[in-house]
Amino acid sequence: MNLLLIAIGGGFGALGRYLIGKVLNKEKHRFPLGTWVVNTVGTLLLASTYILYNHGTFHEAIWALVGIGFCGAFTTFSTFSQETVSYLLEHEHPRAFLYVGLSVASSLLIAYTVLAIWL
Amino acid sequence: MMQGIWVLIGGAVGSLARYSLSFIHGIGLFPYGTLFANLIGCFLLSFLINLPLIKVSLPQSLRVGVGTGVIGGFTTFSTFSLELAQLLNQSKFSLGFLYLFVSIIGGLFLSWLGLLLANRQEAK
Repeated sequence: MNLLLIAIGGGFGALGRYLIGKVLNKEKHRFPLGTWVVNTVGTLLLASTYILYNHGTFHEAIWALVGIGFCGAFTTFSTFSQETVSYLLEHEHPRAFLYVGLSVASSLLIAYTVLAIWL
Repeated sequence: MMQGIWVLIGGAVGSLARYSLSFIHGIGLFPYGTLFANLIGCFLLSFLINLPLIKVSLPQSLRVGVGTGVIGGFTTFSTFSLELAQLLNQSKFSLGFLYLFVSIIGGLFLSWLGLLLANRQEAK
């Protein structure tokens, strides 16, 4: 049952990331805005879902569907890493550092704040 | 349309694979499951999307299904951030820093290695 929910959540998470990337990851921006947005928003949704599951408000099924499935697949580490490497190979070092720094800082700040306030 | 369906199927497959790896991490210990999924995924993404054989033989929609769907869904940034925040929240600063460092530097190295090995295939 949980496996099915994880698969459904994961499928729609990946589809959501794909659609947002299509709209926001434009060459002219010279910054992978789509990936940054999904990773930041996905972290907020995961941390909130985790807190509600931990407090017993959310059933385990919702954690499987939304937390493990949707949020897990909506956010991505491989594309983030690959985008950074392509900046480094183009000798765009400041842009690479900015991208890594902004991605880690915004997601970590959100996750830490949600945990610190509600856990 | 077709591309979106492959991404949906791929995301489901990638998520199940990530979940199966999550069993190797115990509560309160170092988050090995996410780390392995992210590192393996970084290598596979740049290796597969740059592999000449795949570039030539797989249709565009299937390549996006594998890259954005399967591997994108296999790796995760939200779980990585939440686990990192948990380590810091429990004052496990050195473990947190180690997790951050190995994930970022290891991921970048493996993305680069995947690209290098895929491009080497082309030369043959």
